[in-house]
Amino acid sequence: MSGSSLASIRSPSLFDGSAVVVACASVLTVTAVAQTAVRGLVAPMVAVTFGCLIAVGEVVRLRLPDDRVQAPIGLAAALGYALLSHLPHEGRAAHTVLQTVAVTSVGMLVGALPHALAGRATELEGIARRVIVVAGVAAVFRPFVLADDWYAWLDAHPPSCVVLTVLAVLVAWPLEAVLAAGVEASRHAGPFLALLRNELVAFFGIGAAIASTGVLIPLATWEVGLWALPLVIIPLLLAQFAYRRYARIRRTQVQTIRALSRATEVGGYTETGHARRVTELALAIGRELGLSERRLRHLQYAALMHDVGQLSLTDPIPGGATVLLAPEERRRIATLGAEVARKAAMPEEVARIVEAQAEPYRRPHLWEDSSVPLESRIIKVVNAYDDLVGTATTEDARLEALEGLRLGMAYEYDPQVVAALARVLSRSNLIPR
Amino acid sequence: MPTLATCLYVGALAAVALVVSVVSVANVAAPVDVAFFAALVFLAEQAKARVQSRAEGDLLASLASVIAVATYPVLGMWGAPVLLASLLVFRTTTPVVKRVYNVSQNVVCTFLGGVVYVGLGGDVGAVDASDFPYILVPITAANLVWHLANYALLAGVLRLDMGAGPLRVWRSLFAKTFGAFIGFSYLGFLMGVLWLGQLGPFAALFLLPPLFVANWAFAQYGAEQKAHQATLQALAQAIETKDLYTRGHGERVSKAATMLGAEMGWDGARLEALAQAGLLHDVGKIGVPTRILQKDGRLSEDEYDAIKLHPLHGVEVVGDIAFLEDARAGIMHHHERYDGTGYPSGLRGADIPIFARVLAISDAFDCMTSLRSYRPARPVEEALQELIRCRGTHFDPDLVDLFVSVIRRDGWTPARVPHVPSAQATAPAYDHDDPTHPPQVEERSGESS
Repeated sequence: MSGSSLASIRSPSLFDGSAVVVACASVLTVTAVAQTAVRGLVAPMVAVTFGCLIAVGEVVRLRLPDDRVQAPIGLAAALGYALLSHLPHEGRAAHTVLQTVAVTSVGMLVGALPHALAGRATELEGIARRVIVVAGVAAVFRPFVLADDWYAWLDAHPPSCVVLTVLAVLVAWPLEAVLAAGVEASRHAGPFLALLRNELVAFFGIGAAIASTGVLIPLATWEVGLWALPLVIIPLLLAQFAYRRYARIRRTQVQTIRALSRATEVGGYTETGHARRVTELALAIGRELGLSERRLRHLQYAALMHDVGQLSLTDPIPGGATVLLAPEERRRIATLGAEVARKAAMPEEVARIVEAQAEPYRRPHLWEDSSVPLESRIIKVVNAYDDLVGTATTEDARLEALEGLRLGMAYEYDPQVVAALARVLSRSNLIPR
Repeated sequence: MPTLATCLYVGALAAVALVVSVVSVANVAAPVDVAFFAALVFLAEQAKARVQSRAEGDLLASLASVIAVATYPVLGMWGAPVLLASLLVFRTTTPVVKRVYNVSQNVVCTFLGGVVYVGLGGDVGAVDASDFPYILVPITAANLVWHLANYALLAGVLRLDMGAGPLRVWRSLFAKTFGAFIGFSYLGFLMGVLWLGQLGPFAALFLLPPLFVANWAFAQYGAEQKAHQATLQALAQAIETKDLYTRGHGERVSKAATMLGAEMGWDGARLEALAQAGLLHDVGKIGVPTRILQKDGRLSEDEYDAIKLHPLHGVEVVGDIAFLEDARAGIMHHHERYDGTGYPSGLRGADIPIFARVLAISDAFDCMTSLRSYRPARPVEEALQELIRCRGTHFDPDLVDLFVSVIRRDGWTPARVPHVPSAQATAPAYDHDDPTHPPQVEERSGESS
């Protein structure tokens, strides 16, 4: 689910992490449904209500601005069901871990049906991850409710029950992050630890709202019964609405930046497809080097923008603005490009990356120039690589271009970036382009 | 500086709020809860002031209303004074009159909502499962009253202060967010219910994240929308480096088209798409060599063909930007003529997309009222006469009539005279948008026309 718009260049997997997650969740689901079918539903009204809410949540899932797909209402309802301890009329909420898993997975699968019927992606992997996360939280929390002596103690000490609920919901955070990062790492989307950090950070956002709603559901149900559910869900629905609009405008913004870079192609300033190729390769290297999602996004914008400075020239440079151009000329285009980025109200980081894209990574007799951002060095290397390879599609042409870059490693090109490029190229099937 | 009438209005409102506060303080049953609520109001308003000082955009939910609604099940109708805590917020740049108004308005709205809540039989002091679902009636009514009172008071003060009509206030400040405000207020009610239960004031901790996250996303949306607008402008400006005379042309065409669109009763996404189409209508000129765009006098037929391609180039550049299909059609066909002699497709009459018919008029109008190297800028009235002369041949006659009436009514600020370096000024450029100077195109056969 992670960063699919930032991830066009994919490599053959070590193993299919996604399939492993789906398989685990399937085993869990089959076991849970079978056991629940044999034993019968405990508190069927409650189970059906939560199941319906989970299904609705899955129907209205959304694509977040960072391109993750999340079902905030479905996940919050499932977490709430896992954390349910008291019901106003029935007293103890006595459903087991496996019943929780059964209600969650059946609800989510039912909610995925309309998506499947409409021909959209079913996002089975996302559902599988949610099921495993809910199972994890239920496995931590439900034993306390099901054991008689613990339940009596929790019943007598409501504040302890609240604390336990919060601690249990926090299990969801690292669990979801490890699963998501694992799947991404199996696709060679970058080093596992960097991906894990990205996933952990991504929680702060709608993840926090999901978790706190997941805690609110059992607390409010304890007080006022199932009527609490619509009250708790409304704010999450509104948050979801705000996110949807935000995600839409972010996608439109990327399209507009692409239009800017396409303007250089239509105007004959750059070769068709150059900006797109540079952007894809730059992002692959950025992920290989473990950049954060924020920096990847800036890298994406800057890579798309890297030749836009030429629009400020009245006519295209004869022969094109390639690596063969004089350094002063390239620097001028970089400066003009940064100006456009600032005019276009892009984050200042983007302008700085564009500005420094023509700078060598270090100067003679000096150590590395730390004022040149890593993102600029990536664009510099990839830009040169694309110019050197041109439209050639053979293995030899690629190796030759890489060799050319290695010759410039003393001062021009950052060896770390060239090495990452070599790794990305060695395992990707970039040919045919 | 606010007018006397505004000051009197705010003063009267403040006096009412003061009376309400004094009476409430005398009647309220749970002073400890009042203190906690007041602290919450203070924290919320302090946070809001910080967010606003960073100008990250508008907020989706008014935290004051959420907390106000939370007081109903706990304090009944006597919770209004807790809103006074926002007076303590420091380092705010809001002028005094505005702060007094905001606080007084919140106090009065909260009191009115509380009266409705208690009047309809809402429970105070203890809420449990047996109260549901009936309790949703008083809380919903209280909610609506809070926000409608807020709207009424605000419409009043804006009428006095800026002469804004109530409908305009509703459209610009309430229409988009009213539903969200009401929705979030249920969260406030839930907070009150949990406050009465085991959680006490800690209830706020669990309710703030969804509220905060929704606000954050909404503010990001606003900021990103501004950035997107700037990026579109940068895209439009990219072509203007090719010809200093056309600087600002895209923005003015956008403005003229928006005026005409609004006159036709368009609004929302459609008007926005029209504005963007106006901004970007000439973006395809990037694909026309500068030499041809700036050429003096006669064009060869090949050169004119190159110019005729610019609407197609424009569509190519705009590509997959997710705006309405209409906008793309507008860019594609803005050089069609009503009598079918335009380009690129030679469409006629109503076959020309409406966006394109609007853009054609706006485009020609801005061109005529702007300076060109080969002629001075024309006065607005003269340009309108020219549009009228070409109605039915070049332009859609009905749209011309509407356009002429809206420009005569609302006025038009023509382009400022550009500072053109003398080197460029000596290179007169033919402007393909200019209906009064039809392009001089040489026949391919060599015969001059």
